[in-house]
Amino acid sequence: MNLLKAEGLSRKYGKTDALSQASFVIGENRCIALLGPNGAGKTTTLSLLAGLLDPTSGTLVMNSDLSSDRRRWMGFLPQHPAFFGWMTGFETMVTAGRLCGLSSKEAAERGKELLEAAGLKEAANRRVSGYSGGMKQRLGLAQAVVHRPRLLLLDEPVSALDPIGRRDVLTMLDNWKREMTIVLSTHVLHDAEQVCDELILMNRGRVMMQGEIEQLRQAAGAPYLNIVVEEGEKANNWLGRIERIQGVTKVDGGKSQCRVHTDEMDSVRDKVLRSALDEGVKLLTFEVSRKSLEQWFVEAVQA
Amino acid sequence: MSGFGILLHKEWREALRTAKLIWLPAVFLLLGFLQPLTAKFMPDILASAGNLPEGTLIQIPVPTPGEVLGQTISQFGTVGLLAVCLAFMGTIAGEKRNGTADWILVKPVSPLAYVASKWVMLCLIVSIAFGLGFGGSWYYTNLLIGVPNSGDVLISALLYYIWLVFIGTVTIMTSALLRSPAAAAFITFGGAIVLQLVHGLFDNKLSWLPSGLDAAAISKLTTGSSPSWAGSAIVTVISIATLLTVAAKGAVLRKKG
Repeated sequence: MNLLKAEGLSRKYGKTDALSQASFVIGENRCIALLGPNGAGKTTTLSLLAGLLDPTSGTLVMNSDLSSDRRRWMGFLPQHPAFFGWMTGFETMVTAGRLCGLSSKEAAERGKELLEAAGLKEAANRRVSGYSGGMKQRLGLAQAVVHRPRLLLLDEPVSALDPIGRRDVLTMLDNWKREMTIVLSTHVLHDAEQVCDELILMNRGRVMMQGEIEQLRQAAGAPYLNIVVEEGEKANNWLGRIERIQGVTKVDGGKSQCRVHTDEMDSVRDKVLRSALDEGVKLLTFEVSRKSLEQWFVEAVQA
Repeated sequence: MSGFGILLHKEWREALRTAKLIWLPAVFLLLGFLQPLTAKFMPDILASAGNLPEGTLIQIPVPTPGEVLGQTISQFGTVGLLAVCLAFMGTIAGEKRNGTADWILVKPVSPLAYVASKWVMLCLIVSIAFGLGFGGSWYYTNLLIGVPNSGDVLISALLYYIWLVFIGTVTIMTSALLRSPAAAAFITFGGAIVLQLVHGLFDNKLSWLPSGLDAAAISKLTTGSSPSWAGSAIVTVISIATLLTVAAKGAVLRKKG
């Protein structure tokens, strides 16, 4: 079941296209990363999904089983979460819960429970104006899920955090992704890889591609053999002869190391290893590598 | 109108904790007290100023109680009006600017409920501030000058209260439409002055302007009779409803995401 589907979504600010012709699908109970460099249109996309902006053209099709006011089943955390500084953390949670339609008893219980999950139990009765950046971010996450949304939209939830805050937030997301769909934007691939199952790659206001992270990783490039040997005349001769092994398509290499490209990894791997043993070459590294998603991301964005 | 009650509760706590509920009444109270005091003691103050030549005769007629209350309202018309503009200039513009408006509006809340909660709070705070200030002035006038006609006082108080609420509503609307709180206050205050001037200049033709309420309140107190204010009242009430609708549209408007 899909929660929503975007078709040809565009948004202009004056003459600049912040987003043009974006089409993507948001499924259920998964974590989707909107990945792209600064200015790719990630924040615009999330604001459109949250209903803070109206698209210039294109449509958002919601699942017809859900309430037509999508704010009822959506939670949103903006890039710089803003709270009323004069409220305490607990009051913020209760106000958020009640605005989302919870009863006051329910809002209080849910608020208490979520503050504890966010590690803010001690600070619950302190004013939010005294919170640190990391605490505000965690409070922002907690209040965004107070009404148990089906879809949680997070704009750069970890970008402004230190490594510990980052880990805390990623752990919270990992727990929640079983109960709801999470869409988060980030420009750091590593964060996306840690919690997300799916990527939507964006650049300059366009959706470049959407897919499962594992599939993208496979598609990023064919695997190759990475070989490093201990230096010596014998080893260098051997490296020079790898090209002649059957099934090898190409060898890039320098002194005492090389990359062997092939279409038949399984058989070539055995042959290369056997010949190295036969010739008494001292191997330092012998591994099957792939072009990393990081390289793929940089290439895709610069293309 | 979902969320109205919760938003009103939020506005109330905010007014308490940011001390708006204290300083706005304090301004009106101060203005209200000062007017009868200065009216009563002006001759003494002048006499003790000491830089008058020997033998100067000062004769200032003691004003009637109605006149003193009329002067109080004139004071409210400048400093009090400015205080109202300043108190409510950031009510939406400020929340839009720091992002808290988004925090509220991504939740299932109708924009009209958002604006209405602010308006009801405005009516409440202004009634407290104006009630205390004008009540204080009335009390001291009774003590120091004389007893005015209660009926006249109450009618003018009501008329003037509606005028103040009208100005506050304009502030809420400009605050919803403009990005800068200061601009909202400036435009509203300037607009109020212009409305009063225009009404003063073209009294015959434009007696239906909302500022007619202000003029009627003062003349009721000073002369005991007032020009017809029904037209102004109707125009003002309709304007308030229109302004609130525009404010609700403006609250969800944004230039940048």
